[in-house]
Amino acid sequence: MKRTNPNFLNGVPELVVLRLLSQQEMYGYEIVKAIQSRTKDSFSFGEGCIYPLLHHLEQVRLVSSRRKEVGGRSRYYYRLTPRGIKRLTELSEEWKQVAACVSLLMEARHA
Amino acid sequence: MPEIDPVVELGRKLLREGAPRHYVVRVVKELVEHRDDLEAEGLAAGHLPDVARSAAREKLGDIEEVARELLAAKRRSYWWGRHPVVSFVLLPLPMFFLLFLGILWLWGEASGLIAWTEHKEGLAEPDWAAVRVGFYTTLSAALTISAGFICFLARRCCCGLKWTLIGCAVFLGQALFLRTGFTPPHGVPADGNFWIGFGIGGQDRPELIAWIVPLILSVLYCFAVRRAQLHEAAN
Repeated sequence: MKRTNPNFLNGVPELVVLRLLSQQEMYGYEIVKAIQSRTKDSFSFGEGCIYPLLHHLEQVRLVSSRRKEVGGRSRYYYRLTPRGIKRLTELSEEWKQVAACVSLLMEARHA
Repeated sequence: MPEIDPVVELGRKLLREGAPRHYVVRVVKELVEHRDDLEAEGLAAGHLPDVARSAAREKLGDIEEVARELLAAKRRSYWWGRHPVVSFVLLPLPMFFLLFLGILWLWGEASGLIAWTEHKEGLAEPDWAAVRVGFYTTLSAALTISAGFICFLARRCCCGLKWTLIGCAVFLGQALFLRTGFTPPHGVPADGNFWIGFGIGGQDRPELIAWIVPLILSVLYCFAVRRAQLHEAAN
């Protein structure tokens, strides 16, 4: 059966990709593997859906790309732009607030 | 019958929707490389080549959906793509009028017609037959440029054939009812006039150019798209 590409939670895929790219430049496959390993395979998605997201981020100039040859193979590497760094800071703040609110709600429920 | 590679099919779909060729080449390269990496991962895990290949395809996900998301991402990146109704239904009309009046003014200044209307004394009366040709050439140029720009815009933001044809249809519709022209003053000051508006019936032959031009443009566009599809399919 074919895997589908579910809509991630709004803003979450953007945050995840920006966060990973803030650490080092990566290519599509590498980003997917990093997401899978760091989230212990919690996200299940068709891996091809990373490209529409990366291209959108590139169009809005949050990331930039370049063709780079590593180990005899040429690939498109993505990295964060200054605008992307700013956006990552904003999204991280928003996410922390959301996570804190949800935690408060969960604690209140169990209290 | 040979199996069609879904990634190649995705490339064709993107081209059909008007994505630039260099962008399509890049997308196909990235997806093929990703699939190769997944296949290599499967082989390294001890799978048979066929199993590794089909597992790689499955992990890559629904390619049709990837194509849809790529096109949507491309559209979202442009203001025109996010607001197709404004861009291809509402924009053509004011754009044409502004362009027509702008070109008309430039042509009037360049040909000395405006100077003649302001200071008739000492200046030779224009050749009204030539002015008439210039006037309708300006009208046709304004329509061609506006319709061409709409086609370019639709392709540029991957809005597809549908919105291109809608834009051209708006031009056709307005051109069918467009009434414009002028009467020379014939030596009597302030006697000549210029009019532009919409109406029914009594359309002059030169005004037919107004709707023939966008029609030809849209037909040529359809042929160009079709030709590009066939060319890509052949490659």
